[in-house]
Amino acid sequence: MTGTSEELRDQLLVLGCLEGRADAFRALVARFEEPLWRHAFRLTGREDVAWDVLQDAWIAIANGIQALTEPSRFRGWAYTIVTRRAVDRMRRERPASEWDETAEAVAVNEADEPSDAVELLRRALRRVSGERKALLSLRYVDGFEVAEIARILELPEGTVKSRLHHAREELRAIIERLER
Amino acid sequence: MSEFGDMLREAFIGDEPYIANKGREELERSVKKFEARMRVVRWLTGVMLTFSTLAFIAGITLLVRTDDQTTTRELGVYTFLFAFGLVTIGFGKMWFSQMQNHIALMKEIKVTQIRIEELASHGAN
Repeated sequence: MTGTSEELRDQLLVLGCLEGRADAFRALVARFEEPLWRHAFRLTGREDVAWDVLQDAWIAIANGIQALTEPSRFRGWAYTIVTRRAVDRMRRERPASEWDETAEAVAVNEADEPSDAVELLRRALRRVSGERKALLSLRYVDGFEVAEIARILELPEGTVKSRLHHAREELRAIIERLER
Repeated sequence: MSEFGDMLREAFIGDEPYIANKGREELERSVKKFEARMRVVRWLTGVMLTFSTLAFIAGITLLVRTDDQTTTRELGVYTFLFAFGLVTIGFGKMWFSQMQNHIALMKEIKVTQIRIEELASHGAN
């Protein structure tokens, strides 16, 4: 029932949309544009595709928001829509077996020593697959609980826990390799 | 948010070529879509309400004008029009006001929660 002030203001915007107010919907778009784009980018690895996915997702949100009975579920629901659109797009563009591979070609010159822990983490993340990157960002950056991540990615909770564990292990192993 | 989460956020964001408002035009389309959908909902509601009201008025007018030559079938039709109009308007208004009350109540609850949250954080500081 309780939530942070920011979450509660988001829920007020959703209620405004349920009343049919376009200004509330516009404010919701402005509020969630960046986090949803970043989620789409982490899944797809491509800037232009992420914008396309985001646009499709917002149209779907505009069509379906009136059916949302609980405003607190908007955030998870929006992320789910973006996830579905991104996965569909990636599967159309390349076979499913390739989606788990590293999403971005590591083309950056990384001969230099990383300047700090964040830079080390950044280099390690470039080597992590798209799906695991999305899992890590949903858990540690967007702050979703495991149950919500399971709903967003449409996976069983046990699978999410297991994949999160493997993602952390992969990240740790990559960091150790980079530190040597 | 944990320290690891903060570092991870910084690491992610530093590598992501997000440009604010880059997709502004396309996202405006979704706002237009939302507005269009609301217009359709309002229009359909208006049409249904008008039709129900006309049915109600027609039913009452025809019932008032009945005489000894009105057949049972005609009486049935007039009664149906009256009842259909009455029930549709009644249920429609009830559903609409229930929905609006529900939304208004939830908004009040959220506003109160925000105030409590703000008071709690001011108190903590």
